[in-house]
Amino acid sequence: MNKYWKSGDPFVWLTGVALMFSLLMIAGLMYLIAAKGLGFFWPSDIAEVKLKDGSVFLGEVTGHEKAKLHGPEGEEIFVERTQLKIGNRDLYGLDFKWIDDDNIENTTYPKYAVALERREWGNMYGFIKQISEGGNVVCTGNEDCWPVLESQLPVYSSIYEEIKGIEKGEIGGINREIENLRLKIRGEEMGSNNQEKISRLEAQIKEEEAKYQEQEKKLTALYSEFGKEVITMTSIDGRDKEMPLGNVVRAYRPNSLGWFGKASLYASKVWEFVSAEPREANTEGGVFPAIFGTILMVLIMSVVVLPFGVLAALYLREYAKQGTLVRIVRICVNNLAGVPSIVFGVFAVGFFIYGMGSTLDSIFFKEALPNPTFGTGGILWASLTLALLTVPVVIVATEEGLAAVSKEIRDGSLARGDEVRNDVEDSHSKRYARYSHGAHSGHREGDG
Amino acid sequence: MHPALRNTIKPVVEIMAALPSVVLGFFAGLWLAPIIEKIIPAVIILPVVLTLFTLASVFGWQYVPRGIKGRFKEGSELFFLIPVILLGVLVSLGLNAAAEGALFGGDYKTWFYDVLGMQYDQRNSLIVGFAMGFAVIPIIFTISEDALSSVPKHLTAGSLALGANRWQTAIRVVLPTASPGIFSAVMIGLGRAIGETMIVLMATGNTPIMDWSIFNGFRALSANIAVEIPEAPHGGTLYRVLVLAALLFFFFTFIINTAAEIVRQRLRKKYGQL
Repeated sequence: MNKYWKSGDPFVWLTGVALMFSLLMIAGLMYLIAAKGLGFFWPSDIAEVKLKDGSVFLGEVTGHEKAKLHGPEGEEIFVERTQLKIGNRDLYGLDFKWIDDDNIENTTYPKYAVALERREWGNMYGFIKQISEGGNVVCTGNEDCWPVLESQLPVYSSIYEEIKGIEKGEIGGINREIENLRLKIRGEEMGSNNQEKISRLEAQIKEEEAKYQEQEKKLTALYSEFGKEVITMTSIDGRDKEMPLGNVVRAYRPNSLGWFGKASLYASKVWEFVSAEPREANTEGGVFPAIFGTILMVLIMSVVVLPFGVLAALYLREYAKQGTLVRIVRICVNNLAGVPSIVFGVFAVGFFIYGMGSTLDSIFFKEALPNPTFGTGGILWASLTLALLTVPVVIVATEEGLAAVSKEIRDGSLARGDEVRNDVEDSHSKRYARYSHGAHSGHREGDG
Repeated sequence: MHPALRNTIKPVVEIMAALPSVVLGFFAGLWLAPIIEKIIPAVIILPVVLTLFTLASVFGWQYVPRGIKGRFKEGSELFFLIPVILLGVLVSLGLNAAAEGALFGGDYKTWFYDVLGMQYDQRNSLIVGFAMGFAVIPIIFTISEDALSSVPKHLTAGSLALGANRWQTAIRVVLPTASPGIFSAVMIGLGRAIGETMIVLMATGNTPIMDWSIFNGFRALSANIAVEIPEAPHGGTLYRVLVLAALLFFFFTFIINTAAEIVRQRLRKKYGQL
């Protein structure tokens, strides 16, 4: 026993506990993120829950819990309850409902239950009653209407794309043009006040407005096409709800889908999430703008950071005389790498936006004031701030990479008669991996 | 530890280091906080239970016959500890209700309030501590690991050859030699914890009232700036106060970092000649 303790193995074992505990924490967190994040889009079955008091609810089961309640005399009662996503926000006003398990009579999964994802009002769960076009009934009942619905949805989504395209592309362009002309007039009025030029610009605005009317007409036509067919849904409590088919983003019947069908639906939902724009005040749709913004920001940042960071590190390590000054610079760089990002954020607001941005505005974009052009938050300022934040990190990492180039390589190169510069280039190519590591840790910081 | 094993464990921890702190804060605030609220007694007894379990495993290990011990790749016997730890966690969870009854008289929130005069907030310093651990452990781990593995092999070999055992070598030879690296790892971790904004922002209540209890919410300097600056008008009093707070914060980290750097250079000089 005593010998066992003296051998030191128990202590080694205890350090092992610390390592394993960290690893378990990491594994647990990864699992948690994956489970919570990836499960969200899986289409679960639509349950029809009948309560003992006769009321019926239709929706996806989203949760189950054991709740602790206090009874009338303060005693504790445990209640099992189920959370149902009942959707139909326009009919019920609430998306979710908790149901006590004790009150449930039975639960069934009706084959024809349809889930509709809509452009407004969130999801709808119910049964198809009929689809009609301009007052004429096209089809009635679940069985007949499903193929019609499935074939018409792509048509409407392409019309929707067209409408969005016109609104954003053509009309957006015209608006931009008008705004530019208006600013030019304003600048002219503030400056030389040349009446002839102003009236010419005004005529151009008239032209643009005529173009706008044309596009507007096109849009009206598309919108009337968009609302042509109307689907009537019956909710579980027997209320009918009419809505234009164009309002439906996606329709599916999870209860009659097989595993493969669900998987492909899941894939399409995930793809929508990463590639589409958000709908309904960011509660539905995708996060494409956020992804795009992040990537663009990091790209701009890298363009700024890489040359500065790598060259500075190169100079510090290879050319500068290693004296007190360089030591101070190095301590400062290390220090800067440790400054919290929020301090950089405040600096960005104060210096870039209010300082540089406002100055640029007052010099170049006077006619647009008080509307800021550069004097507001934007991707350029964000990227530059991130660049400031990551330069020290890149310098430190690159320097470490350079320090790891062995003395033999350096001396050999010098002995061959190369100048210091060539020597650096040699080791540069050999240690390329280290640079990319430096850049990579910079990116990591930037992403955070 | 066996090199192959190390080469798999280290990247895993590095993945963790790359996880943005916003994600950690999000999980701590929205997922972890309500769960911890339910199992506070279990969380309190967890360290005790875990210590008992690991000590038991230490005692148990010496009775494992040599034949079985020898079969493991160096270091891989540690995977035995995973079930031990999991079991410890499960046991404390199972003891949750019992511990609440025995230690806190059935309802820990009332007990806290009656006996200690503390209130329990759902988002509190304890939660932030957990989340911060996730953020800081990988950083300290990777940098210290680098430092430890760059200790020259001839030192450890010499120590072992002179008759020191594994533990003595690690404590007396490897640790001092790697101490500059480990020290800077700890300081960088500390720096990240101080500067951490998103975790604190999401997992504390951001209450500006100060309290010594770890079960209360609080507001950190960084989160304070992050919460207020979008609302502050340019040039106004709030804006200037926030800039002052940022300056204060900057000085704070500047002093800590400089002190750390100086200590590190001293240590390096002391152990650098080895």
